[in-house]
Amino acid sequence: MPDPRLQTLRDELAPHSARVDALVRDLDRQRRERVPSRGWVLPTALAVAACAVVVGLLPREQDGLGFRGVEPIPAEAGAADVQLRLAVEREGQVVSLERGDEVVVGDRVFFRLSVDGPSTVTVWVDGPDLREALGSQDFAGAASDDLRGAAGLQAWRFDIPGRYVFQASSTGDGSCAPPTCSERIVDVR
Amino acid sequence: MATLPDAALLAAACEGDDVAWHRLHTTWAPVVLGWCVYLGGGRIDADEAARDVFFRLWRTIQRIDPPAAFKSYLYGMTRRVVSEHRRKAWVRKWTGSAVPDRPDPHAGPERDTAARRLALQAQEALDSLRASDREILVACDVLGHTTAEAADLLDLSPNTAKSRLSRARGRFDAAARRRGLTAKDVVHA
Repeated sequence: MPDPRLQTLRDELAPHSARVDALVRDLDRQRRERVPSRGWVLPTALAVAACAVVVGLLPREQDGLGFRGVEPIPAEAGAADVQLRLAVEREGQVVSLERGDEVVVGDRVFFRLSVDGPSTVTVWVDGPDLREALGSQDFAGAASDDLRGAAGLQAWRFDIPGRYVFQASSTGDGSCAPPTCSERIVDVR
Repeated sequence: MATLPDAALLAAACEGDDVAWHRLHTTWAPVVLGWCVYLGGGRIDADEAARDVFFRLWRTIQRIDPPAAFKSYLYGMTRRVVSEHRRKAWVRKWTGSAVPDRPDPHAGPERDTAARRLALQAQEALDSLRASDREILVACDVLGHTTAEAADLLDLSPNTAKSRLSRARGRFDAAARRRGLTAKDVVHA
């Protein structure tokens, strides 16, 4: 006979089930962002190869645009697929930040990273007045973790309104192309 | 009960077909979410865990052969992800986290009802069991699978599933009683 005390847990699923539609929409969107349709694979590969040839022929400059605060990851580091999710702190609780959620000056965001293999992931932000690296996280294999600094969870506080683009990449070359880079855009009011 | 994907659907998903993936997300996201809620208990963010499961499925779906193995493959992946999330939650608990790491999905006027309190006690008792006990109880007594179905899902022989369920019920009963929760409480609630 099933234990009646365990039956009480069935209601625990209800609040989650109410959000399943949103979860499915989000999964559909994130998968499309990560996996380009096949028709684009060849042209994209050709374009990347052409760029690589052009860049290889250009004279190198020592002082190019770089990250502020954190060194870029060496190119030979592993490039795993990356998924970046944001969470925002409100009234002492951290809730997942979904597309279209309202964010205001003073809110803090945290960064949740998932990778499918060994890699080092760098997270950076392009804001209205800056481009800044927020930190890096090492992964020994497929895993999920919050971005951390020496003092604990790494957070970012919005200090002026505008559009902020957060990117997490395992390639370390400053570019952001799925699936080795994941991007989240936040409009702050 | 979610319908297993047929070979054609899995093949289409392997090819990156958006419609096939939407069908898989729609059918299996609620199932995975349920597993995450009950196996993870109150310690993890079930929505985040479910997203991580699909994140890994996107890259590894081609490993599923035959299609009949889809459910047990997905369950095994969920079990690993939930286990990682529980381990991290445990580490956070002892090392101290800057902020709470999951929202309370039950926030609202109903959260303090007697039924909710009983469910939380039952969840605590379930959380205190070892993973193998928790899994068989969740499969049979919470999700309502037969022992044969649970055996299939957990990759056990039917006899092993039966004896494990019996032992797990005994351990759950002891754990619940230690927390002052008896079957009578549920009947009278």
